[in-house]
Amino acid sequence: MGQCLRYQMHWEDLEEYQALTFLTRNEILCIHDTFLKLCPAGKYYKEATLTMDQVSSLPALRVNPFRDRICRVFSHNNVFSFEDVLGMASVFSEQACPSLKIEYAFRIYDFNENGFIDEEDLQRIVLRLLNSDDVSEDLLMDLIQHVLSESDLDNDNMLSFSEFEHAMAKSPDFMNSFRIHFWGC
Amino acid sequence: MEGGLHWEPEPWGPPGSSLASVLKELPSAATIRYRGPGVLPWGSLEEEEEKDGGRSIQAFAGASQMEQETHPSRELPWPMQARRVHRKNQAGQHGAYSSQSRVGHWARLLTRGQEKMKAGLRGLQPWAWTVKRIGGQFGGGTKSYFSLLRFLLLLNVLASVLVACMVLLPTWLQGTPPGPPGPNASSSCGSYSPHASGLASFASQLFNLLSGEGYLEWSPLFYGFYPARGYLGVTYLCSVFASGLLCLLLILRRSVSGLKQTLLAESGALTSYSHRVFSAWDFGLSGAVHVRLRQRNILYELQVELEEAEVRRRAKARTLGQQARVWLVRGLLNLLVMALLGAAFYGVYWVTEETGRLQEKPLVQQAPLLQLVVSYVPSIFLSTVNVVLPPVFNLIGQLEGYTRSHQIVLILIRTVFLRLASLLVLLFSLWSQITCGGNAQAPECKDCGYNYKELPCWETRVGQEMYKLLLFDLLISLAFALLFQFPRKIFCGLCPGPLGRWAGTLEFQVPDEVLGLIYAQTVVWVGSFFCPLLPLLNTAKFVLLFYLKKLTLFSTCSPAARTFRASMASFFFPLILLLGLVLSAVPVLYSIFLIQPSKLCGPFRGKESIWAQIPESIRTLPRTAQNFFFFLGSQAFAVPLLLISSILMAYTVALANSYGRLISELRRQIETEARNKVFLAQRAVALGSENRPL
Repeated sequence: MGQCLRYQMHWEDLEEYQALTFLTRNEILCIHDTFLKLCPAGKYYKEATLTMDQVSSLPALRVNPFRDRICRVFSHNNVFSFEDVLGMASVFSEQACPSLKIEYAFRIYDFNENGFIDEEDLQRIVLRLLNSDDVSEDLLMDLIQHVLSESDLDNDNMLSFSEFEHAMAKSPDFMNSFRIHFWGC
Repeated sequence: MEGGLHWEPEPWGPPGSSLASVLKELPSAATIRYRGPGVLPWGSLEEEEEKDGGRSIQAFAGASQMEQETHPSRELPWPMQARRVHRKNQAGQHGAYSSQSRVGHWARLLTRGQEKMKAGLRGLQPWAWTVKRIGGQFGGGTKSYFSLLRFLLLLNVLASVLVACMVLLPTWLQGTPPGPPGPNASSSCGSYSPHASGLASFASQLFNLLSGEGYLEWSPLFYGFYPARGYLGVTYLCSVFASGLLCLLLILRRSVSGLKQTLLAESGALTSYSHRVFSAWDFGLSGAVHVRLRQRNILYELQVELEEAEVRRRAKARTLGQQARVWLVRGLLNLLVMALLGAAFYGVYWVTEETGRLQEKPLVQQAPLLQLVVSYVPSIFLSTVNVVLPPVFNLIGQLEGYTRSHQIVLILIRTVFLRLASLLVLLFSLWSQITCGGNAQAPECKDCGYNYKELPCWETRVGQEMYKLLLFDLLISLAFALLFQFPRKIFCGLCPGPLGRWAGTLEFQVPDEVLGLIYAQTVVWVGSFFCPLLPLLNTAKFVLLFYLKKLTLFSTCSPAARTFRASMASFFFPLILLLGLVLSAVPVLYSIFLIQPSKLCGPFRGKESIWAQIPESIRTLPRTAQNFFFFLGSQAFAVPLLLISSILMAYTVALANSYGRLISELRRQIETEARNKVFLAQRAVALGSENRPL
């Protein structure tokens, strides 16, 4: 796989990206390097795109059980431009604000993309978390019932965004666990 | 959901925009997430988009833009291009954000530095990766055993360091210590000749190694070796007190941190399954091994949570008759447990008496092998009782209907009395031998204050008993693993049918193993006054034990079917360890204050009591220091200290009570908040539908 044309990022572009994302200067340059290594030969980095498979095989995402959902949520038309990758890194960075993380977490966990996290989504989340061969049906159903009875305030057996946001705002660990530092440089 | 809302999405005046924003916040509303100008809203279907797409996008654009005007561009969940446009429209407000971000930047660097330092310190602990792997593969309960073992290793290392500095160093600083008194030296309190005369065979050398007699008796290993010169007496006493205090502080610290975790985890109102599902996964994890471990950890935690929730639910659902039956069963089982314990204690006492009588027979005196076996009989009986009774308690525990964590704690408490009280009975029989049953006027004890004919150097004898217990415990563990656990796994694994399946599901018995650790540590605490090198030997023993248990675990045990909560373990195990420490202080303090030291050996020979060394040394200090120390020991200091401590304690208890009441009040408020929200939303919808006909 060849490399993109090795253009240094313009200073204005760097400043703009710093203002538009939560990434620090070093992180942006690091992601720029990683992007250049992966993108097809002979293209300017602002026009090049990466496939979802390429992004899924980054070391940060390779073993993540939700990597297909992450790629689907952050890509546009099934490809990643440089700015899409930056946007993804911004949401997962340490400095990102809680509302942004909660918003994207909701989109990632909504497997069937109907705007709600329903029982089917919850089942898939738990199976991905635990690795399907270890889990009994009872444990799964029990757990889903508990989650819904805690967070579903209007009793429609689904979690809407506000209910999800309300639940996650109380969680002390959410900000720490929804974080990726290292993007492969 | 379908009986819901078909609102007109035209942008209204001020009342309309407030209704739209309320509707957007309603849990029941179809929340179509706005992804930015020109992009399909999140969660909207294709057909809807064509029908009234323009209108819905417009409505949300109206409502969202009013909110998002105040947000910096990077906080918006939109694609980069949309944010660029938004930023251009917000050109004037950048100065404020950059200065904020500088302060925030330093704060973040600081927290990140702190986290890295904590992670680094945790990585310094030995076997950190092994313990983590054990936790992932076998559950939190097994992991708590190994982290307790590591903690005890730390305690022993610190105690050995203290002994080396305060006992060994002063002994050799003032010249080589003198050799043992010969058989001709005698005094009014008999004679003491620790070395056997003449050549000793190899077999008897081996027996001497195992029982601490012969050449080991007059060695730095035991109390009797240390000479009575210089400051050795003071430093010897102070080393014991210092290591006891250090152990107490470290155990309390560990227990308190476990208590904090337990309180959080145990309270039903604060546990949250939604947290466990949605924030369980650490997105920063990389490496397939870590991922697998994390998945196992999550599975174990969920299992524990769900099991405890189930038990709590069943307990709430019991009728009065069922409750009464459960309590009756529990009462009967407790009586049974106490009967078994009482029988065990009496059995130990009887065996010790019989052994004492047996050792005086001439047949036994002549054959060293028989002598060794007979001297080990009390230990063998103790170990047998400790092997037979805990499975019985385990069975009883399962009938009581508590959660697994509570079961483990109850089994521990019952068995700990068995283990530790057996040790105390052994010490009691030793005491009655040394002090002629407490009768200071008995003919053997009248002259010297202790039984000088049988035990010319009684401290060394007590040290030897503890040394034998330590060695025997290690040999038993080795023998049990090699001769029982491994063959059981290998042979039963080869058998077909239920026996083979049973062998495949053998689990690591955490309560038994933990008690073994606590017993071993209590023996060392009792013996470290009489045998100063015992903590050093124990360090080596625990290192060996760690590798032995790890090997046994990975080779013969399968992961636990039901695990228990690790936070409860980290609170209770140190507490029971504390019980062992307190119980071990009793014989040591009794010996220091109330029994006359041996006249022929040890650094306190010739004194009234071991403690008498301290006032004597204080009297050699300058006048003001003397007055200060004697004041500290007088009642004028002790009584006000006691009063102040009681007042502080009462105040702390009152404070804790009021915090407890505050917590239950807040918990009740949390429960009503959720209901308030639903009620308000319903009212808002009702009001909205009333307004429409207008």
